[in-house]
Amino acid sequence: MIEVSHYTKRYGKHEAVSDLSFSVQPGAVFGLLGSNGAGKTTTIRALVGLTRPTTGTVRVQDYDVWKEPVKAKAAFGYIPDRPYLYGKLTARELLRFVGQLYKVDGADAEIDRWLEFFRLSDFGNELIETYSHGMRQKVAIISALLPDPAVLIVDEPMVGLDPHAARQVRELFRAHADRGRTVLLTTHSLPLAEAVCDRIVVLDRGKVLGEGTMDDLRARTGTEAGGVHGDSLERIFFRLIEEEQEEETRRREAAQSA
Amino acid sequence: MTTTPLTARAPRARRPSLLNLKVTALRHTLGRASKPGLAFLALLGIVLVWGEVYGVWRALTFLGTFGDIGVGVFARVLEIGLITLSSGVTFSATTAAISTLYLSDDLNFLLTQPLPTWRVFALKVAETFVNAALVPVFLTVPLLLTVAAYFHAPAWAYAVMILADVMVFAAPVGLGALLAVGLMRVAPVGRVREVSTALGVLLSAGLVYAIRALRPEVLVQKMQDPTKFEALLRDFAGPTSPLLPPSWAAQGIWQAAHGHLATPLLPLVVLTAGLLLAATFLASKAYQEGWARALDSSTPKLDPTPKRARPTERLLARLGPGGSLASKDLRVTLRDPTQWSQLLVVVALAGVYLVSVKAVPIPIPQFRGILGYIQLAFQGFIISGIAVRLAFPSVSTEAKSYWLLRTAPIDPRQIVLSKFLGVLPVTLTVGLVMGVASAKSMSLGPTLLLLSVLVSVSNAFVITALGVGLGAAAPKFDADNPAEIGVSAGGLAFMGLSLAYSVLCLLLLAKPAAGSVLRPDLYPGLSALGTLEGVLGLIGLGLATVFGTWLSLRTGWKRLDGLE
Repeated sequence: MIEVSHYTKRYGKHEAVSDLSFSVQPGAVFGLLGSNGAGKTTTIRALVGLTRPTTGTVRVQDYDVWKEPVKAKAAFGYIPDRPYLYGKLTARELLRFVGQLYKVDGADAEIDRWLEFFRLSDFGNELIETYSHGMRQKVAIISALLPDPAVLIVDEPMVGLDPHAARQVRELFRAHADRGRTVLLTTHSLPLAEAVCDRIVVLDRGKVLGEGTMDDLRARTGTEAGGVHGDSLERIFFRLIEEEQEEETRRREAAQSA
Repeated sequence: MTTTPLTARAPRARRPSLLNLKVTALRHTLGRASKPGLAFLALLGIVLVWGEVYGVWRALTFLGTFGDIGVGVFARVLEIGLITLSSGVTFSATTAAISTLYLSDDLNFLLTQPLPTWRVFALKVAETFVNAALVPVFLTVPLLLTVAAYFHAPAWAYAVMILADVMVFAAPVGLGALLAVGLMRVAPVGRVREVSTALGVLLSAGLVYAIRALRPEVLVQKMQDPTKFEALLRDFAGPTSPLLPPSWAAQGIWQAAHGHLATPLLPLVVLTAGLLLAATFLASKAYQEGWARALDSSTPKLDPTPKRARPTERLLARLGPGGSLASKDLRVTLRDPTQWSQLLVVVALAGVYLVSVKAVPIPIPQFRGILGYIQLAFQGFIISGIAVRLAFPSVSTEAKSYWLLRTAPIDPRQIVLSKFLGVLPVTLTVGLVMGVASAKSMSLGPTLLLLSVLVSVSNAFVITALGVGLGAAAPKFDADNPAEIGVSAGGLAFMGLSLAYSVLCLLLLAKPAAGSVLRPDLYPGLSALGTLEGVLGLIGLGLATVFGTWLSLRTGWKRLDGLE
């Protein structure tokens, strides 16, 4: 499971994420949504040990990521938004290296299975520097799933993937959660979030605008009756952003009149 | 649909300055850099410059007491120094040019913009100069300014001397760029980088060997014969290598210091400008195509047969995550021409040094002993030269793939130790071979032989740890190309500290070494090491080695752990 408790991240005077708290239980796919600069990637980076929280804690499988980093990292797999990998290794060599770091039993057979799954078997002995962006993304996804982690943390997973692979990945995330594992993902793709996420947090400029299941959010934003986009997540998302902007305008006007 | 006509002409956009772009990026880097780190670097620089200025002034004052001949000797030493330093730049210029001209990340952006190719090329040649020649320029400018001040040179001479200094290092950079463009154009597609780098290293090695073939040790040999000494000084005061560009620079600098504008500067200007223009001309025809060829990879073989781990990988993997990392590093190093070419440079550096030491015949035992001891500091410099290529960049070469290690269950301590243990065998082997071979070839006594071994081991441990530690403390994961890594602020601090450590090692054991050399009757065998100074010196060396290694590595993993 994942627990984010009162997480705040400041860069100088700029507050990228403000007092964020949420938890993700095993068996759930949790979506972190928001516009550019909302704080999604900053939150993910804290969860995987790339950014230290200014205040608050982030825990994975009951391990504080910053106090017991090795144990926490052994419990999750991470798929970054940009798949930078060692270009001078072949996919098999890279995945073997990952298997050794995570102490994966029977790694060779698993690697063969995953390469076959993503139709990369023919390219498995080729250097990664010769791969397309999508192929690298597939290798990054395999490297995260190879240890069969209890928690999967994913940042913009669909960038560069062809439609077939995108569907495979969507089904993989759902299946991973259905096996009692935890999945946290950030995405700009509202259809993806709607299709796979059990719960969603919508962030804007570091603050939580809304949290809950799709039904909770529909009730909160009054979009049950439908609208231009019906009761879709897209409608909910824009409604939350509009509410926040209206609130901001009200605050500004109140400050000016005072 | 209607459109509104423009009533006023928009102001014409200024032509973008690529250099300005780089300067802005540098300014931002400095603005965000750690202030104490910069202050430390500045302090280190001031101490080094002060030491250089003080030493040069003292040397000129001392040699000046011998009149024109003495001062002429300084001029020749300056010439030899420039020949040596420009050989070093020549050696690394081709590989630096290939890295900078063809492997820089920003080329994807620059070469797809509506810019003339020659402007991008000119920017990259300027970067090659910074990567390959900045340290020698920094090293020589204070020396030249001291010479100018000593001889009360006119104001214009300062500018001429600095210009000559820049040109003497710009010429090999121009040659390196020319070779790089030519090689990248003709090397077979799919192996362009590998073939070009190998040929570049071989050509540079050939050039350096040709310069070595001038045999400066013959001069040293003549110095042993007192009857020939005066004639030697007279000869020595005049130029002996009139066809070498560094000699032209040395003469131009020397004459400028005395208020004359010398003619040898003209061929230097012509050569440097000629090389740079020839490289630019060739680049305008072949640069973009060479870059495109470098991007082409070999044809995929598409073999679905799984290739399993080899015995070395299986063996190293048994050592845990650190062993797996070492196995990965070994594989990547051997496949990356920008990394394995450094191993060739290392072998060549050590080879040239050993040949030079072996060729110096010194019949007087005391003089031989003292020189044999002092040359251990030079061995430290060579280990530093190796470490700045192998140890310092070892963490930075993870580059943008570092996220994979950072988010994996491996401790920063394991990463730093794995990198250290990966480079140590190279530096230790080279250090020991140089230490023992030079001691044997100079027929040093048992005390100095043992001290050679101990100092070599200490240098290898501490300098490698310093390199890995400082490289981990200030990694440069976003370097546009690998050649940039060593010339960062951390790289310069590493060079300064490792040179200081080499000298410290000598100072710690200077007393017993001097005793065994100057009074062999009082201190036969290894007895000099049994004296109070000897025992304290050995303890000091042991402590310096242990603490120097541990503190360097610890600084590295602590800073790496805190890195965001």
